[in-house]
Amino acid sequence: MAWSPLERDRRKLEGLVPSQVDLVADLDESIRAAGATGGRERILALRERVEAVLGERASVGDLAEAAAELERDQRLAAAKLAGIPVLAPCAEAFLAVADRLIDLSELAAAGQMGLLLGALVNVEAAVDDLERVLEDVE
Amino acid sequence: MAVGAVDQATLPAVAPRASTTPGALARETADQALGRRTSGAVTVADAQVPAVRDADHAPDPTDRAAIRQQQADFVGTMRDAGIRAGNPPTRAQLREYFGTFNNAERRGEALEQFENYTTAFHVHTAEVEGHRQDDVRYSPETSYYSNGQYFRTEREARREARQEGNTPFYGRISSADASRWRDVNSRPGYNGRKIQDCEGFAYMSQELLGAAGYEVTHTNNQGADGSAHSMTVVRDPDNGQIAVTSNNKTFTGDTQEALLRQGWDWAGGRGVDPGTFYTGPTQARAQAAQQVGANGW
Repeated sequence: MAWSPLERDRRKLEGLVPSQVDLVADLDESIRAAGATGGRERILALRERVEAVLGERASVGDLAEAAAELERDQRLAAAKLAGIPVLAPCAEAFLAVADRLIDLSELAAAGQMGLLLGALVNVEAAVDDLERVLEDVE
Repeated sequence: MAVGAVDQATLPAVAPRASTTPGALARETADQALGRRTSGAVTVADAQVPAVRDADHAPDPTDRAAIRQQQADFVGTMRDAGIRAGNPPTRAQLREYFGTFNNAERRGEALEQFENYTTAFHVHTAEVEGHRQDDVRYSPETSYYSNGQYFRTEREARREARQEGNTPFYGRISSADASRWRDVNSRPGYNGRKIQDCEGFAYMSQELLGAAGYEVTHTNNQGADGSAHSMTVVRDPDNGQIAVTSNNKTFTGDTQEALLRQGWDWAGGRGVDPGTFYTGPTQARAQAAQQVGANGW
Protein backbone atom coordinates (compact mmCIF):
# COMPACT_ATOMS: atom_id res chain seq x y z
CA MET A 1 0.00 0.00 0.00
CA ALA A 2 1.16 3.53 -0.64
CA TRP A 3 -0.01 7.05 -0.10
CA SER A 4 -2.38 8.27 -2.79
CA PRO A 5 -1.71 11.89 -3.70
CA LEU A 6 -4.32 14.52 -3.16
CA GLU A 7 -4.16 15.11 -6.89
CA ARG A 8 -7.06 12.69 -7.12
CA ASP A 9 -9.16 15.09 -5.08
CA ARG A 10 -8.51 17.88 -7.54
CA ARG A 11 -9.18 15.69 -10.56
CA LYS A 12 -12.44 14.45 -9.11
CA LEU A 13 -13.62 17.96 -8.45
CA GLU A 14 -12.82 18.86 -12.02
CA GLY A 15 -14.90 15.93 -13.21
CA LEU A 16 -11.93 14.01 -14.54
CA VAL A 17 -12.58 10.90 -12.50
CA PRO A 18 -15.98 9.48 -11.59
CA SER A 19 -17.26 9.36 -8.05
CA GLN A 20 -16.61 6.00 -6.47
CA VAL A 21 -18.93 5.94 -3.50
CA ASP A 22 -22.37 7.26 -2.77
CA LEU A 23 -21.06 9.70 -0.18
CA VAL A 24 -18.94 11.41 -2.76
CA ALA A 25 -21.84 11.40 -5.19
CA ASP A 26 -23.86 13.25 -2.56
CA LEU A 27 -21.08 15.79 -2.31
CA ASP A 28 -21.08 16.24 -6.08
CA GLU A 29 -24.81 16.88 -5.93
CA SER A 30 -24.35 19.49 -3.24
CA ILE A 31 -21.77 21.22 -5.43
CA ARG A 32 -24.26 21.44 -8.26
CA ALA A 33 -27.00 22.62 -5.94
CA ALA A 34 -24.80 25.29 -4.40
CA GLY A 35 -24.09 27.04 -7.69
CA ALA A 36 -21.67 29.87 -8.25
CA THR A 37 -22.41 33.21 -6.68
CA GLY A 38 -21.26 36.74 -7.27
CA GLY A 39 -20.49 37.01 -3.60
CA ARG A 40 -22.13 40.41 -3.02
CA GLU A 41 -25.80 41.16 -2.56
CA ARG A 42 -26.02 43.85 -5.23
CA ILE A 43 -24.11 41.73 -7.76
CA LEU A 44 -26.42 38.79 -7.09
CA ALA A 45 -29.37 41.12 -7.66
CA LEU A 46 -27.78 42.27 -10.90
CA ARG A 47 -27.45 38.66 -12.07
CA GLU A 48 -31.11 38.05 -11.26
CA ARG A 49 -32.03 41.13 -13.25
CA VAL A 50 -29.97 40.02 -16.26
CA GLU A 51 -31.60 36.60 -16.14
CA ALA A 52 -35.00 38.25 -15.87
CA VAL A 53 -34.28 40.33 -18.97
CA LEU A 54 -33.13 37.27 -20.88
CA GLY A 55 -36.28 35.49 -19.74
CA GLU A 56 -38.34 38.48 -20.89
CA ARG A 57 -39.57 39.08 -17.35
CA ALA A 58 -37.96 42.51 -17.03
CA SER A 59 -37.18 45.37 -19.36
CA VAL A 60 -33.79 46.21 -20.81
CA GLY A 61 -34.29 49.78 -19.66
CA ASP A 62 -34.56 48.73 -16.04
CA LEU A 63 -31.35 46.72 -16.35
CA ALA A 64 -29.44 49.59 -17.93
CA GLU A 65 -30.65 51.88 -15.18
CA ALA A 66 -29.65 49.45 -12.43
CA ALA A 67 -26.20 48.94 -13.95
CA ALA A 68 -25.71 52.68 -14.24
CA GLU A 69 -26.64 53.18 -10.60
CA LEU A 70 -24.20 50.49 -9.52
CA GLU A 71 -21.50 51.99 -11.73
CA ARG A 72 -21.98 55.40 -10.16
CA ASP A 73 -21.66 53.92 -6.66
CA GLN A 74 -18.39 52.20 -7.57
CA ARG A 75 -16.95 55.51 -8.72
CA LEU A 76 -18.09 57.16 -5.51
CA ALA A 77 -16.38 54.41 -3.56
CA ALA A 78 -13.21 54.82 -5.60
CA ALA A 79 -13.19 58.56 -5.03
CA LYS A 80 -13.74 58.06 -1.30
CA LEU A 81 -10.67 55.84 -0.98
CA ALA A 82 -8.40 57.45 -3.57
CA GLY A 83 -7.06 59.99 -1.11
CA ILE A 84 -5.67 57.33 1.21
CA PRO A 85 -2.39 56.04 -0.25
CA VAL A 86 -2.60 52.57 1.25
CA LEU A 87 -6.06 52.14 -0.25
CA ALA A 88 -5.14 53.23 -3.78
CA PRO A 89 -5.31 49.60 -5.06
CA CYS A 90 -8.84 49.38 -3.67
CA ALA A 91 -9.84 52.55 -5.48
CA GLU A 92 -8.48 51.15 -8.73
CA ALA A 93 -10.37 47.90 -8.19
CA PHE A 94 -13.63 49.80 -7.68
CA LEU A 95 -12.97 51.70 -10.92
CA ALA A 96 -12.39 48.40 -12.73
CA VAL A 97 -15.79 47.18 -11.54
CA ALA A 98 -17.32 50.43 -12.73
CA ASP A 99 -15.78 50.01 -16.19
CA ARG A 100 -17.22 46.52 -16.52
CA LEU A 101 -20.61 47.85 -15.47
CA ILE A 102 -20.45 50.46 -18.22
CA ASP A 103 -19.86 47.64 -20.70
CA LEU A 104 -22.91 45.84 -19.40
CA SER A 105 -25.04 48.97 -19.41
CA GLU A 106 -24.07 49.86 -22.98
CA LEU A 107 -24.72 46.36 -24.25
CA ALA A 108 -28.14 46.38 -22.62
CA ALA A 109 -28.96 49.77 -24.08
CA ALA A 110 -27.89 48.53 -27.53
CA GLY A 111 -30.08 45.43 -27.21
CA GLN A 112 -27.07 43.09 -27.47
CA MET A 113 -28.83 40.41 -25.49
CA GLY A 114 -26.51 37.60 -26.52
CA LEU A 115 -23.57 39.36 -24.90
CA LEU A 116 -25.17 40.25 -21.58
CA LEU A 117 -24.12 37.13 -19.68
CA GLY A 118 -20.54 37.49 -20.80
CA ALA A 119 -20.52 41.11 -19.64
CA LEU A 120 -22.02 40.05 -16.35
CA VAL A 121 -19.29 37.45 -15.81
CA ASN A 122 -16.73 40.20 -16.41
CA VAL A 123 -18.40 42.29 -13.72
CA GLU A 124 -18.31 39.35 -11.31
CA ALA A 125 -14.65 38.71 -12.10
CA ALA A 126 -13.83 42.36 -11.39
CA VAL A 127 -15.64 42.04 -8.05
CA ASP A 128 -13.58 38.93 -7.28
CA ASP A 129 -10.45 40.94 -7.98
CA LEU A 130 -11.70 43.61 -5.62
CA GLU A 131 -12.25 41.01 -2.91
CA ARG A 132 -8.65 39.85 -3.27
CA VAL A 133 -7.43 43.42 -2.95
CA LEU A 134 -9.59 43.90 0.15
CA GLU A 135 -8.16 40.78 1.76
CA ASP A 136 -4.64 42.08 1.27
CA VAL A 137 -5.38 45.37 3.05
CA GLU A 138 -4.70 45.39 6.77
CA MET B 1 -13.83 52.64 -22.36
CA ALA B 2 -14.39 56.16 -21.17
CA VAL B 3 -14.55 56.62 -17.45
CA GLY B 4 -17.51 58.61 -16.30
CA ALA B 5 -16.85 61.73 -14.31
CA VAL B 6 -17.76 61.89 -10.66
CA ASP B 7 -19.57 64.87 -9.28
CA GLN B 8 -17.26 65.86 -6.44
CA ALA B 9 -20.11 67.62 -4.67
CA THR B 10 -21.87 64.30 -4.13
CA LEU B 11 -18.89 62.58 -2.51
CA PRO B 12 -19.15 61.68 1.14
CA ALA B 13 -16.57 63.27 3.37
CA VAL B 14 -13.49 61.12 3.97
CA ALA B 15 -13.34 61.28 7.71
CA PRO B 16 -12.62 57.87 9.13
CA ARG B 17 -12.76 57.62 12.87
CA ALA B 18 -9.42 57.45 14.60
CA SER B 19 -10.12 53.83 15.51
CA THR B 20 -11.04 52.83 11.94
CA THR B 21 -8.27 51.04 10.12
CA PRO B 22 -7.81 51.55 6.38
CA GLY B 23 -8.82 47.93 5.81
CA ALA B 24 -12.02 48.36 7.80
CA LEU B 25 -12.82 51.52 5.89
CA ALA B 26 -12.28 49.76 2.56
CA ARG B 27 -14.49 46.84 3.53
CA GLU B 28 -17.20 49.14 4.82
CA THR B 29 -17.08 51.07 1.56
CA ALA B 30 -17.38 47.83 -0.41
CA ASP B 31 -20.40 46.82 1.67
CA GLN B 32 -22.05 50.11 0.77
CA ALA B 33 -21.16 50.03 -2.92
CA LEU B 34 -21.74 46.35 -3.65
CA GLY B 35 -23.84 45.07 -0.77
CA ARG B 36 -22.66 42.67 1.88
CA ARG B 37 -20.79 39.51 1.01
CA THR B 38 -22.76 36.31 0.80
CA SER B 39 -21.01 32.95 0.90
CA GLY B 40 -18.18 34.09 -1.33
CA ALA B 41 -17.43 34.41 -4.99
CA VAL B 42 -16.78 30.74 -5.40
CA THR B 43 -18.90 27.64 -5.11
CA VAL B 44 -19.17 26.18 -1.64
CA ALA B 45 -20.24 22.66 -0.82
CA ASP B 46 -21.15 21.40 2.62
CA ALA B 47 -20.79 17.79 3.60
CA GLN B 48 -21.60 16.06 6.84
CA VAL B 49 -19.33 13.18 7.69
CA PRO B 50 -21.48 10.15 8.43
CA ALA B 51 -21.59 8.85 11.96
CA VAL B 52 -18.47 6.96 12.88
CA ARG B 53 -19.42 4.04 15.01
CA ASP B 54 -17.92 0.66 15.38
CA ALA B 55 -19.45 -2.55 14.33
CA ASP B 56 -20.88 -5.03 16.77
CA HIS B 57 -18.65 -5.53 19.74
CA ALA B 58 -15.44 -4.89 21.60
CA PRO B 59 -15.63 -7.44 24.39
CA ASP B 60 -14.22 -6.67 27.79
CA PRO B 61 -15.29 -7.43 31.38
CA THR B 62 -17.51 -4.91 33.18
CA ASP B 63 -16.92 -6.22 36.67
CA ARG B 64 -16.51 -3.18 38.98
CA ALA B 65 -14.02 -4.83 41.31
CA ALA B 66 -11.88 -6.08 38.43
CA ILE B 67 -11.96 -2.63 36.84
CA ARG B 68 -10.86 -0.94 40.07
CA GLN B 69 -8.03 -3.42 40.38
CA GLN B 70 -6.92 -2.82 36.79
CA GLN B 71 -6.91 0.92 37.43
CA ALA B 72 -4.92 0.60 40.62
CA ASP B 73 -2.43 -1.69 38.90
CA PHE B 74 -1.88 0.76 36.08
CA VAL B 75 -1.44 3.74 38.38
CA GLY B 76 0.98 1.65 40.46
CA THR B 77 3.02 0.94 37.34
CA MET B 78 3.18 4.66 36.61
CA ARG B 79 4.32 5.41 40.15
CA ASP B 80 6.94 2.68 39.95
CA ALA B 81 8.29 4.53 36.92
CA GLY B 82 8.65 7.67 39.04
CA ILE B 83 5.51 9.46 37.87
CA ARG B 84 3.45 11.23 40.55
CA ALA B 85 0.21 9.85 39.18
CA GLY B 86 -3.28 10.31 40.53
CA ASN B 87 -6.13 7.86 40.05
CA PRO B 88 -7.27 8.49 37.40
CA PRO B 89 -4.09 9.95 35.97
CA THR B 90 -4.19 13.29 34.18
CA ARG B 91 -3.23 13.86 30.58
CA ALA B 92 0.05 15.47 31.66
CA GLN B 93 0.89 12.54 33.92
CA LEU B 94 0.09 10.06 31.17
CA ARG B 95 2.16 11.87 28.59
CA GLU B 96 5.04 12.05 31.03
CA TYR B 97 4.74 8.33 31.65
CA PHE B 98 4.53 7.41 27.96
CA GLY B 99 7.44 9.75 27.37
CA THR B 100 9.60 7.37 29.38
CA PHE B 101 9.27 4.96 26.44
CA ASN B 102 10.49 7.52 23.95
CA ASN B 103 13.70 5.75 23.01
CA ALA B 104 14.68 2.98 20.64
CA GLU B 105 15.07 0.36 23.36
CA ARG B 106 11.75 0.72 25.15
CA ARG B 107 9.28 2.21 22.64
CA GLY B 108 7.59 -1.12 22.00
CA GLU B 109 6.55 -1.32 25.67
CA ALA B 110 4.28 1.68 25.12
CA LEU B 111 1.94 -0.46 23.03
CA GLU B 112 1.21 -2.80 25.92
CA GLN B 113 0.77 0.11 28.32
CA PHE B 114 -1.60 1.78 25.87
CA GLU B 115 -3.77 -1.34 26.04
CA ASN B 116 -3.52 -1.42 29.81
CA TYR B 117 -4.49 2.23 30.26
CA THR B 118 -7.34 2.36 27.76
CA THR B 119 -8.78 -0.93 28.99
CA ALA B 120 -8.64 0.09 32.64
CA PHE B 121 -10.08 3.57 32.31
CA HIS B 122 -12.25 3.55 29.18
CA VAL B 123 -15.01 1.38 27.79
CA HIS B 124 -16.40 1.16 24.29
CA THR B 125 -20.04 2.16 23.99
CA ALA B 126 -20.72 -1.16 22.29
CA GLU B 127 -20.30 -2.73 25.73
CA VAL B 128 -22.75 -0.39 27.43
CA GLU B 129 -26.23 -1.77 27.89
CA GLY B 130 -28.76 0.34 26.01
CA HIS B 131 -26.08 2.23 24.09
CA ARG B 132 -24.51 -0.48 22.00
CA GLN B 133 -25.26 1.23 18.69
CA ASP B 134 -24.59 4.80 19.82
CA ASP B 135 -22.37 7.11 17.87
CA VAL B 136 -20.33 9.08 20.38
CA ARG B 137 -20.23 12.68 19.20
CA TYR B 138 -17.15 14.51 20.38
CA SER B 139 -16.38 18.18 19.66
CA PRO B 140 -17.58 19.52 16.31
CA GLU B 141 -14.79 20.29 13.89
CA THR B 142 -14.78 21.71 10.38
CA SER B 143 -12.25 20.95 7.68
CA TYR B 144 -11.87 22.89 4.45
CA TYR B 145 -10.35 21.84 1.18
CA SER B 146 -9.83 23.31 -2.24
CA ASN B 147 -7.84 22.26 -5.27
CA GLY B 148 -6.33 19.23 -3.62
CA GLN B 149 -5.25 20.91 -0.41
CA TYR B 150 -6.70 21.08 3.08
CA PHE B 151 -6.96 24.26 5.09
CA ARG B 152 -7.57 25.12 8.71
CA THR B 153 -9.76 28.12 7.94
CA GLU B 154 -12.47 28.92 5.44
CA ARG B 155 -10.66 32.10 4.51
CA GLU B 156 -7.59 30.17 3.37
CA ALA B 157 -9.68 27.72 1.34
CA ARG B 158 -11.62 30.53 -0.31
CA ARG B 159 -8.42 32.32 -1.18
CA GLU B 160 -7.09 29.15 -2.81
CA ALA B 161 -10.30 28.74 -4.82
CA ARG B 162 -9.94 32.25 -6.13
CA GLN B 163 -6.41 31.81 -7.40
CA GLU B 164 -6.19 32.20 -11.14
CA GLY B 165 -6.25 28.87 -12.91
CA ASN B 166 -7.67 26.99 -9.92
CA THR B 167 -11.02 25.28 -9.73
CA PRO B 168 -13.33 27.93 -8.20
CA PHE B 169 -14.52 25.58 -5.51
CA TYR B 170 -13.98 24.87 -1.88
CA GLY B 171 -15.62 22.37 0.41
CA ARG B 172 -16.61 22.46 4.04
CA ILE B 173 -16.67 19.15 5.91
CA SER B 174 -18.09 18.80 9.39
CA SER B 175 -16.99 16.03 11.72
CA ALA B 176 -17.38 15.29 15.42
CA ASP B 177 -14.31 13.31 16.37
CA ALA B 178 -12.17 13.56 19.50
CA SER B 179 -9.50 16.19 19.05
CA ARG B 180 -8.83 17.39 22.63
CA TRP B 181 -8.17 15.52 25.83
CA ARG B 182 -11.28 17.13 27.27
CA ASP B 183 -13.29 15.28 24.61
CA VAL B 184 -12.39 11.89 26.03
CA ASN B 185 -12.07 12.96 29.65
CA SER B 186 -15.53 14.57 29.91
CA ARG B 187 -17.44 11.53 28.73
CA PRO B 188 -19.98 9.92 31.06
CA GLY B 189 -18.87 6.92 33.06
CA TYR B 190 -20.01 3.31 33.12
CA ASN B 191 -18.85 1.10 35.97
CA GLY B 192 -15.94 3.41 36.62
CA ARG B 193 -14.79 3.77 33.00
CA LYS B 194 -15.39 6.56 30.48
CA ILE B 195 -17.62 5.65 27.56
CA GLN B 196 -15.84 6.13 24.22
CA ASP B 197 -16.00 4.93 20.68
CA CYS B 198 -13.25 4.28 18.18
CA GLU B 199 -12.58 7.98 17.58
CA GLY B 200 -11.81 8.52 21.25
CA PHE B 201 -9.45 5.57 21.36
CA ALA B 202 -7.74 6.77 18.17
CA TYR B 203 -7.24 10.19 19.73
CA MET B 204 -5.72 8.61 22.85
CA SER B 205 -3.34 6.70 20.60
CA GLN B 206 -2.26 9.99 19.06
CA GLU B 207 -1.69 11.54 22.49
CA LEU B 208 -0.05 8.65 24.31
CA LEU B 209 1.83 6.72 21.63
CA GLY B 210 2.77 10.07 20.14
CA ALA B 211 4.36 10.94 23.49
CA ALA B 212 6.31 7.69 23.22
CA GLY B 213 7.78 8.94 19.95
CA TYR B 214 5.64 7.02 17.50
CA GLU B 215 4.65 8.67 14.24
CA VAL B 216 0.86 8.46 14.29
CA THR B 217 -1.42 8.37 11.24
CA HIS B 218 -5.19 8.22 11.60
CA THR B 219 -7.35 6.03 9.40
CA ASN B 220 -11.04 6.05 8.69
CA ASN B 221 -12.91 3.48 6.66
CA GLN B 222 -16.46 2.54 5.92
CA GLY B 223 -17.27 -1.12 5.47
CA ALA B 224 -19.65 -2.58 2.95
CA ASP B 225 -22.30 -2.86 5.69
CA GLY B 226 -22.15 0.89 6.38
CA SER B 227 -20.24 0.64 9.64
CA ALA B 228 -17.40 3.11 9.90
CA HIS B 229 -14.27 2.66 11.98
CA SER B 230 -11.36 4.80 13.11
CA MET B 231 -7.91 3.39 13.87
CA THR B 232 -4.32 4.58 13.94
CA VAL B 233 -1.17 3.32 12.29
CA VAL B 234 1.88 4.02 14.43
CA ARG B 235 5.44 3.80 13.13
CA ASP B 236 8.56 3.48 15.23
CA PRO B 237 10.97 6.04 13.73
CA ASP B 238 14.01 4.09 14.91
CA ASN B 239 13.32 0.70 13.37
CA GLY B 240 10.44 1.44 10.99
CA GLN B 241 8.19 -1.15 12.59
CA ILE B 242 4.47 -0.62 12.17
CA ALA B 243 1.65 -1.26 14.64
CA VAL B 244 -2.08 -0.61 14.37
CA THR B 245 -4.39 0.44 17.18
CA SER B 246 -8.07 -0.41 17.02
CA ASN B 247 -10.04 0.80 20.02
CA ASN B 248 -8.07 -0.41 23.06
CA LYS B 249 -6.16 -3.12 21.20
CA THR B 250 -2.83 -3.00 19.37
CA PHE B 251 -1.71 -5.23 16.52
CA THR B 252 1.89 -5.92 15.49
CA GLY B 253 4.06 -8.30 13.54
CA ASP B 254 2.56 -8.19 10.08
CA THR B 255 2.21 -5.95 7.07
CA GLN B 256 0.34 -2.68 7.45
CA GLU B 257 -2.48 -3.94 5.27
CA ALA B 258 -2.82 -7.13 7.29
CA LEU B 259 -2.71 -5.22 10.59
CA LEU B 260 -5.46 -2.83 9.48
CA ARG B 261 -7.56 -5.79 8.48
CA GLN B 262 -6.97 -7.39 11.88
CA GLY B 263 -7.99 -4.17 13.59
CA TRP B 264 -11.15 -3.98 11.52
CA ASP B 265 -12.00 -7.62 12.18
CA TRP B 266 -11.43 -7.22 15.90
CA ALA B 267 -13.82 -4.27 16.09
CA GLY B 268 -16.57 -6.43 14.68
CA GLY B 269 -15.97 -6.14 10.98
CA ARG B 270 -15.08 -9.77 10.38
CA GLY B 271 -16.62 -11.00 7.18
CA VAL B 272 -17.32 -7.48 5.94
CA ASP B 273 -15.28 -5.77 3.24
CA PRO B 274 -13.59 -2.84 5.04
CA GLY B 275 -13.32 -0.72 1.91
CA THR B 276 -10.55 1.82 1.61
CA PHE B 277 -8.60 3.03 4.65
CA TYR B 278 -8.45 6.81 4.30
CA THR B 279 -5.68 8.54 6.15
CA GLY B 280 -4.75 11.84 7.71
CA PRO B 281 -2.60 13.40 10.43
CA THR B 282 -5.74 13.85 12.52
CA GLN B 283 -8.99 11.92 12.67
CA ALA B 284 -10.88 14.90 11.24
CA ARG B 285 -8.51 14.99 8.29
CA ALA B 286 -8.88 11.26 7.71
CA GLN B 287 -12.66 11.63 7.69
CA ALA B 288 -12.40 14.58 5.33
CA ALA B 289 -10.18 12.49 3.05
CA GLN B 290 -12.87 9.84 2.98
CA GLN B 291 -15.39 12.42 1.88
CA VAL B 292 -13.38 13.55 -1.10
CA GLY B 293 -12.02 10.10 -1.89
CA ALA B 294 -8.40 11.12 -1.43
CA ASN B 295 -5.45 9.72 0.50
CA GLY B 296 -6.59 6.13 0.65
CA TRP B 297 -4.79 2.87 1.31
